[in-house]
Amino acid sequence: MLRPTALFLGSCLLAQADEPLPNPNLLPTTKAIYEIIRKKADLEAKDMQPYADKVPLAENAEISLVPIPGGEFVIGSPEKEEKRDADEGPQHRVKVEPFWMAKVETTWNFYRPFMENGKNRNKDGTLNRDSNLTTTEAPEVKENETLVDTVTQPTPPYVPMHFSMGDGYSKEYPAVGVTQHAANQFCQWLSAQTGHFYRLPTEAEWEYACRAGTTTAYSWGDDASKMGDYAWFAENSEFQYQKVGTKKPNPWGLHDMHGNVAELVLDQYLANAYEAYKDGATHPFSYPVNRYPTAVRGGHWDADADQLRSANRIGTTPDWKVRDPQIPKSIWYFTDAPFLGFRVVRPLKTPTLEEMHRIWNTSPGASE
Amino acid sequence: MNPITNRRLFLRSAAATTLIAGFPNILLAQGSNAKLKIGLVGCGGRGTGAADQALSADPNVVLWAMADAFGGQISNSLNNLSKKFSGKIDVPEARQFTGLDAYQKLLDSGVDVVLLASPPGFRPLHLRAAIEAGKHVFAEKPMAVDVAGVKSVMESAKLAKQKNLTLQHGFCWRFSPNTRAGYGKVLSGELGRVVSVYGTYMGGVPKPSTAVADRDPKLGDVEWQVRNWMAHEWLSGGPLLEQAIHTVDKIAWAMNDVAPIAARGCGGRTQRSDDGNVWDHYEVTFEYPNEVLCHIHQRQMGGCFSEVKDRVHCEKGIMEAPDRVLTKDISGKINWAYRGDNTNMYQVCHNEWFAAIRKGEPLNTGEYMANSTMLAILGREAAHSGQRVTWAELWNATQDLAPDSLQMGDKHPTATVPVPGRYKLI
Repeated sequence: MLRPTALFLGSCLLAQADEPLPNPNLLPTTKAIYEIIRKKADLEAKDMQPYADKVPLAENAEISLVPIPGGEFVIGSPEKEEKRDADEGPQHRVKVEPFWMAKVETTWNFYRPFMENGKNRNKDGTLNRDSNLTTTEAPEVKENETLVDTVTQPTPPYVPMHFSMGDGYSKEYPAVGVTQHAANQFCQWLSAQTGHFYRLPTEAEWEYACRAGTTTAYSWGDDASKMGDYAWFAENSEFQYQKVGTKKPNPWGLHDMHGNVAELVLDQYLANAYEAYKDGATHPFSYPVNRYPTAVRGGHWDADADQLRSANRIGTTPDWKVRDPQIPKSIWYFTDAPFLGFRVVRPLKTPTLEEMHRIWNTSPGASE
Repeated sequence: MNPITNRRLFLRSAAATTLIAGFPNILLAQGSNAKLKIGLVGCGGRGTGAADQALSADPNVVLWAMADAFGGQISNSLNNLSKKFSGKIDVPEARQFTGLDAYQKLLDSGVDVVLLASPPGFRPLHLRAAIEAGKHVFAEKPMAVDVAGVKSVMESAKLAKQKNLTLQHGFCWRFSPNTRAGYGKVLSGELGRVVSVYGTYMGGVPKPSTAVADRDPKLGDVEWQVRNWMAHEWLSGGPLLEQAIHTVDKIAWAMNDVAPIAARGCGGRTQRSDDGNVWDHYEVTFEYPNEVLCHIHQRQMGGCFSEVKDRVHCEKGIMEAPDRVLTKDISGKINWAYRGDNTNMYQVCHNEWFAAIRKGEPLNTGEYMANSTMLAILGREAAHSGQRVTWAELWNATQDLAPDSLQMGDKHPTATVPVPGRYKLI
């Protein structure tokens, strides 16, 4: 049964206090990570700098983040924009709070150690200790285990998830075939190691960062013929994804916001989402209470030019798991979405424990 | 002895069905429309998936009985299927059968059609019993794990033919519209003669075993092994049979399903640390007539290069599948790529099967499924023994990895890991 999605506004990302907490069995893990993050005081907006965060479980590789100052922008596209879809309006002026955003899409360099975590896990990603993969088990840290191990993580894929594109799991290629649930758990895994709170961007944050102050169809203007300088799409990708960060960045230094892989964001996809927005609202956001559809932005290597527009929106669908032979299908993999990846953000202001838990545990728990 | 000769016929008819693959339900208007009762044997994730496809393939079917070694599997499977097919599920407790003999009780419960999706070591036994009981059968891949099993499947296929029963296979890629399009280009001769094939199935371990330290001391050997079946050769046949058989089957496809001459290969067990006996990597070359050599590279290991790709090298170009199905000219430039919607190949398989049942068509892929399974055994045995093994030698062998009479609590020590040069195919 589909649950109604409410729109949340205001500096507090979530106003869902009356809803029961999702996945309460996993709260001890969230709490332990929250305590680590809380030890560091939040910075002031004026002190935000680009930085690189070291990820111990990715052989200390560094993930690069770009500061995105808070501000106002007009979300959506004007009715006159060519090939525009109705779900891109009505336009509204909305406010976004400061955050850092990953300079490039999440690569296999970081995602592979999370995906191939080497532990025997239940289908829901908790550690399996009872010879039954269909149960869920408590997030206890036992001998030779760490807090990071208790973050729920993928079971092994049946086939390589790079779909034989590029050069295997080469470190510079984007992770693909990732469900929103898996991306959320990756953010938690990353946070547990770095002591910084990471999550998916909201749709508003994503579009604000993509536009980078522009109001045109693309962040380089309206001229689709320049696309080859900035983006990988159907006409130049040779039927596969490409190394991240090899095309020109947008005005705020972000690469591949247009094209290469489409990017998961945090919101439920609602075709009429913007109708509920109000001019001047801060941080509009549709919390995903249902597994499908969640919003996806930016277009990809197999998409035509108009799908790469800053305002273009699509939603996830169960069809992206059609090749998964099992029932229930894996909660971790979109076996038929070699075009779908994500990038992480870190909000300047650290949220409360409860907000953190709700953000990392969207949708109806561990379900298909 | 050349049991593979009739495979050309099958292939031609399979290719001919491509056009209707997307909407075979139209055909149901003709022929019998009586309600078909489905029995599911093996209620894990794949079996449940097969039941979903069977229930979706035809309007007048009902899931009637379920059998599994373990009761928990049945209740999970039933819960999942009930969410989607509430009106097509009629499996009261009296028709939920558990234990190693559950399949026989299911066959006696009044089903018309059975889906066989237990670990493949049980498949020949289940298939024979189902055909003897007069049921239409879907058999998931692989169809056996040893020579005796393949011969049994071959006999069951013949019996099915005599009894006018349909027998459908689960080599799913043969039903994938994009892969069919790619192999169609090879078989039509558009790219010239096939010169060689290089197929890879290199990935991780799909289902790691429970740690030996976590073994419940109450579990007998057989139950422990069945619960961790992928690690045990008598149950899974090892990764070349259980998983990479998809690639082996596509080598056969590229070669127009003609009989191979022999195989040679190597491999071993280096990364696995469970108490099973399967290898974790193989490199096998199949010899075909006209000096054509077909290679498969299989691996299930973490932390290594991974790829699943078929490369069919032909005189005038190369066809690649199955993720991105495309052709290249001999310089490597892409000159054709399949671009279309994702179609559910598992569903196409069941749609074609139920269409045949409804039309009263003699769909029987038993001989083909036995041969493709035997081809994988040929590669495995060549690697295990360290010898060049011919197709004829293999058919003369009697290899049988486990007795049919095993019970859950039986003592059943794991057979030793084969060592090339010492291990012998019998």
